[in-house]
Amino acid sequence: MNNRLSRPGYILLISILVIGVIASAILSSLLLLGTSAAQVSFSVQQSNQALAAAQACAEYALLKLRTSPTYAGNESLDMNNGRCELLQIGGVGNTNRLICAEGQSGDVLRRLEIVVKQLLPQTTIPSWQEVAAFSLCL
Amino acid sequence: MCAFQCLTDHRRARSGSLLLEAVIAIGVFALFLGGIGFSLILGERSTVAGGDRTRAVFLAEQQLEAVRAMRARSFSSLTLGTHGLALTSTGWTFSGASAEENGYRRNVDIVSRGTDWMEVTSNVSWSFDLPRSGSVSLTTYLTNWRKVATIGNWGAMSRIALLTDSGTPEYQKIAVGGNFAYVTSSNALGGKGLYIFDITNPAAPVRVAGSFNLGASAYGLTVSGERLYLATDNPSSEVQVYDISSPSSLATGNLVNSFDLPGNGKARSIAVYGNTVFVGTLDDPPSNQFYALQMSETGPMSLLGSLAMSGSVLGISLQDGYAYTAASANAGEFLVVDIFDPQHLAFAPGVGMDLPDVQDGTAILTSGTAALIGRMNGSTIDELIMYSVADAPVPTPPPGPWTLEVGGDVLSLANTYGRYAFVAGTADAAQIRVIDTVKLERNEAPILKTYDAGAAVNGVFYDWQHDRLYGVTSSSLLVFAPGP
Repeated sequence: MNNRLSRPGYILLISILVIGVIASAILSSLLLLGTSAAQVSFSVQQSNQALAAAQACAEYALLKLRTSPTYAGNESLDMNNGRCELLQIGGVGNTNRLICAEGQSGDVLRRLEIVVKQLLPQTTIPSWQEVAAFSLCL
Repeated sequence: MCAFQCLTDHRRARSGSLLLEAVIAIGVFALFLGGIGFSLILGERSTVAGGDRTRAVFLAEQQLEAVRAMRARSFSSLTLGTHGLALTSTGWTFSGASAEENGYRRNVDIVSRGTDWMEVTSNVSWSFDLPRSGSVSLTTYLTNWRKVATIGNWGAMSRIALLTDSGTPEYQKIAVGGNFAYVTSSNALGGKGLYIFDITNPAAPVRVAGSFNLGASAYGLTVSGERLYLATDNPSSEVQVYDISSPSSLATGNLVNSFDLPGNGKARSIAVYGNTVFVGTLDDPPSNQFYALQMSETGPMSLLGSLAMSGSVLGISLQDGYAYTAASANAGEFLVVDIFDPQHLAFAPGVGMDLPDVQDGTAILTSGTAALIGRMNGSTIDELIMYSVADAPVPTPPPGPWTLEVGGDVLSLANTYGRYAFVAGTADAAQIRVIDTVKLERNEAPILKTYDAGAAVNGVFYDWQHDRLYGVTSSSLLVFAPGP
């Protein structure tokens, strides 16, 4: 037994195996990190596309409301890099209207809630914020 | 002999094994090193490519924000085409067809989607070397909602169109949606219940869908998107909802939904908030007079709640979670209903106002911090009253109320988004009045203009898209424009 352990080939072999395992783990991590970086960047892209789509719907709703106060929302718009959906516009008339817009790109959703204090003669918006879930619109 | 020979053979065999082992070991090690190298390069490239894309996305977002900043300064600065962007001392401006920064080529495409409506696509591309190339695009809309709208001088109002029906349509109320005006009518003398006019040119309205017949009298109406809501006297479906996506060809088949209220054909006023429909009826004990209904596009309408109002509800105006009603109750001509929870309708704290004398409330209008109530004619009262609802839904004067003697029944009210209000009714030689509500509040002479329609004006509607006023007598459609 002692004869076997004292043979230098085993020490070298075990050392190589241990170093190999560590090296493999580091390489796997590098590979995963690289893949993750690519996925994250793609998610960032989709997220920004979804936000741009949500903002598009919000702008569209404001334009429609200014031309027709009875505009009800409940509309979807398709764009080159995403799509957006308007929920039912809240409120009636020229004051205190609520707009809820949801943009989508891939699996990513971004949502905007906008409070319109007055539409005409000059549109005033005290609140334009992104939300995780709609609370102003049903 | 054999022992020596065998030892020699064994040594030869071991020497070969060692060589083979060494070759295999070197091969395995080379493969291992190759894997290491490949993994290192692949991981590094993925990380770098991810970074490239992330930077490109933020640059694309920066471009969109730059265009938004330009829009905020002037919508007209958004010229169509493909542009580069440059930051100058005065802010972002278009510069050339593209711009390049740290290896990223950037531009924006601006395409018109309609009046005051642009589609903006922010493009960023890069090509550092073959594996490190790509592109990112973000698309959004920008509209000119910051534009300040102008209102004409309604103190110099003039009639620009008069369209008279040769029959007896008995027009009641009017509402406008898009390029069409919808007029309800009584069918007592042969009216068709609903008339539709194409007002693409407000100075020359044209009746469309002439063959349509509602088969009942209709009174209050409201347009919400592509739906027309009617309060009718049809005993089995007082509330009717029509699809008005093609008003010129409206037919009975366009009925989307209806509801049979308790009682027998008493619906008179209607208002809509989202998918909730509020209906007021004539006094019809033991039925209630105020209803909340749930509109559905796929199933029948359903009753959410109702409230006894002790009289007819002839007008409804919604604002900030409250329904302001013009009612006939002698002790409460102006009643306010809390509609935050339509399934549990209740009077707002304070209930409402008992106006002087007993004349019915007939029309109501809320706008910002004011509520205007019109009443039937009375010798001892002013028929138009304005309350401040700035502090509470049910007014607690002072300040106000501010009143105006109309000299006849007030049948309908409308207003611009500014200071003008329109009062329509039966007053001799002044069936339409233009009121300055600011002057009314200051106790100054508020009447800016009167118009003699020669007959009672039953309904008025202000179309803010075209800055036009529409009115109906029993047989005529009138269109008004402001002065210069």
